[in-house]
Formats: sequence, structure tokens, C-alpha cells
Amino acid sequence: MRGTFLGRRVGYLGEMRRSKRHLDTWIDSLADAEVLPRDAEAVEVFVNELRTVPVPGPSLDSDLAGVLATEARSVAESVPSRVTAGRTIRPLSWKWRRRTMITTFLSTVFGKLAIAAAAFAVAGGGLAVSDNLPDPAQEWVSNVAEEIGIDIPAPSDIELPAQVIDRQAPELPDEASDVADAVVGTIFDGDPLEGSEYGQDIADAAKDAAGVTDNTGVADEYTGGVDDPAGIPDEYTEPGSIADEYIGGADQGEGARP
Amino acid sequence: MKPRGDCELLQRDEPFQSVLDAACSGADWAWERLIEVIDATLRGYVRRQVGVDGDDLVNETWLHVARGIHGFSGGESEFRSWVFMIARHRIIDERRRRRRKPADAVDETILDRIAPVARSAEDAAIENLGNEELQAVLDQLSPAQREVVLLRFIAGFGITEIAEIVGRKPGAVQALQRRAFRRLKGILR
Repeated sequence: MRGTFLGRRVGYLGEMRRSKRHLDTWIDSLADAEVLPRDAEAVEVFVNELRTVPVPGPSLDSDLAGVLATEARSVAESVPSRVTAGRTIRPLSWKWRRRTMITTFLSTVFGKLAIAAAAFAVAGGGLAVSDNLPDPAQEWVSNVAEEIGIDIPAPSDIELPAQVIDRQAPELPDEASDVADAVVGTIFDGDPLEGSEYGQDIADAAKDAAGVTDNTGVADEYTGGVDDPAGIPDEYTEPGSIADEYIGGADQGEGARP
Repeated sequence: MKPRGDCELLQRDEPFQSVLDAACSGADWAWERLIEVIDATLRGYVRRQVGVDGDDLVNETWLHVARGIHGFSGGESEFRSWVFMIARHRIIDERRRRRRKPADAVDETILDRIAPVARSAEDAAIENLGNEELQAVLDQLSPAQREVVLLRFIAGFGITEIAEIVGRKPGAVQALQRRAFRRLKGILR
């Protein structure tokens, strides 16, 4: 099959260029070819024209070399910056491009969100591993982590230390009082997990053993009771009596000055 | 316009390293030599990518080369790859700039000093006869395919060098090249 391209009679690509290897070989030969074959195909003519036909545009300015030389001189005379001093600029590789793409992505909003999410995950993970999250959150994180095979303690997994659970009451000496015996017994027989009830039990045991029945008992003994006037010392004098003795009483009319 | 040989500068009197050293120290002749060897293909590549306006990008590319040449090390092949990589980045920047701000100028003060000389309308019209058809075919390729074809056949780079310039793996570049030629085959049928 033949036709025309750029005024030339040309053929078209044949059957042999269907495989990748043949196509690559043919393109390489086109790139190296100096002279167009007589029975050139359209693509060969196109490539040849592409190489030989100058692109229209203004011609090169003769001052360009001088300007560039001046520019290079001025750069050479200036002090090299700390960043580029002693370093070599090499052609950039695809690895560099990939790093640039990653850096560019991280500077976008999505990148920042990704960084924030990663930071949140790390912080949350750290709190979860050290069992410092609130119980519902700790439970949830533990369940999620278990799905992916990471062991993070759940609140229900937490056990009291063995020495708290297996407690043995110390043996008191024979001369220990009943109070001490009762209190120690209550302390070691009770359950600390009951909290305030446990504390109240210990207090009650101490009171019972000491024979104290009422909170006000001690005070009553001391004062003789609020209702008992006998609690007040006998020699107590009414406030007005001294003044009466001194001035002879206001009602007597004899209130002469000393 | 013809793709360069691998070591055009080495085939002349001065080895590439001495040209590079002289260019670093600001020797006019060294820059003339570098421009002579690279500018035509560079300009063709950029113009095919962004049109005639690409000349500003070419000049900007050369300015970047002049500012960064002190940090460059390598042979001629690496130097060419480096220059085209800078040009490619300038093209990408320019496309982004056009999308954001249609008429944004680039380093006007220096670019004015190296503004290209205008040609006659007749010359341009004659050259445009074949170029429009070529450009019409190129425009039907995807941007990545077009880039690979231009780097391969205008700049004369091999697959490995193109892979470095465009930041892809060689296999990906080869696949792009194959797809481009299958597409060209379909377009030119």
C-alpha cells in the first residue's frame, strides 16, 4: 500500500513490525539512519522530516554566548552558597522524581491530613498499649487490635496483683489486745474491692473491740452531759454578781463612785 | 538539523572537559562551542513542544545552565542530558504558568538582551509549508509520546538518556515510543 506524505510517495508499515522486538529494532534503525531509503514508508519519511526540517522561528542571537559567559563569570566570582558548595549536580533520576512527588503530596491538604491521622494513630496506640485510655475506648482499641493480631490489654483483662488477692493475716503475739486482733482479722478477711464498705467494716470492728458504742460517749463522760447542770463547776459565778458587789447594785441608788 | 554524534566536542580540538572548564571561568569561545553543538536541537525540541514562543524558554534554559555549570560534573553526554532536563523543567513550568497567568514574563531584563533576530516573512512562510503538516501529526500524539519522539529524533538521545531526562524507567520510555509509532502509523495511513 502506498500514498503521499509531505509531497513524497511513501509506503506504509508492513507486517514485520507487529512484534515489540521488531518494532524496537526498526525504531532504533530509524534513529541511527543517515539516509532515507528509496522505498521509505510514511513513518520513516515523517521521522526524517522531523529531524531535518528546521522549526521556524527567529535565528539565534550572536550575543547569547557573551551573555552566558558574563553570567558564568559573575557566578564564579560570587561566594558559593553553603548549600551547593562542594556538591555535584547530577542528572536527576526517576528515584529523585518519586521523592519529589512524595514531598509534594505531603505538602498538600491530603498529605497533612494523612500526617495528622498517622500522628493520632501513633498517640492513640501508645495510650492503648500503656492502658491509659478510658475504659470504653480501651475496650474498642483492644478488640480492633485483636482482629489484626496485636495484643493490647482490655479493661476486663486487668488483674489485681497476686499479693493483694492471696493475703495471709499475720500471727499476732499473745499479748496483743483484742482490738488489734479484731482489726487485723477484719482487714485480712474483708475484700478491699468493696471500697468504702471495707473501710467501714474495719472501723466498726475497731469500735466493737474497744467497747465504744456511741460517738458522743466520750464527750458525755467528760462534761457530764449537756443536760446535766452538774457538769458546770460549782464556783462558777454569774457575770452580773461581781458588778453588783462592786457598785452595790443599780437598783439600790447607792451607786457612789469609788 | 541533524542529531548530534555522541562526542562532537571531543572530535574537535579541545576535549569536552577543557571546554567545560573554560565555560565555567566565563570564556566566550567555550560558550560559543556549547551553543553551536546543542542550541539547534534544543531550540527544535522546545519549539516543537511550545511553539515559536519557546525561544524565551531556550534562552532561560541557557541562563540556568550558565548559573549552574559550576556544580556540574560529567561528560558531554551527561551535559546534554542535563541541559535538556533543564529545558524540560522550564517547559513544564511555563505550561503551569500559562494555565495560572496567561501573560507572565520571565526574567525580562536579561532575555531582552539576548532576544533572537527576526526573520523575513517569506522565509518563515516557506519553512512553514512542511512544518504545519509535521506539527499537525505531532499534535495528535499524547504529550508523553510526543516528548519521547522529539527527544529521540530531534535531540538524538538514546532510551536510557531519555529515561533520565523525563524521570521514567527505560522500559516505560520504550513502551511510550512503541505506542507513539503505532499511533503515527495509524495517523499516516
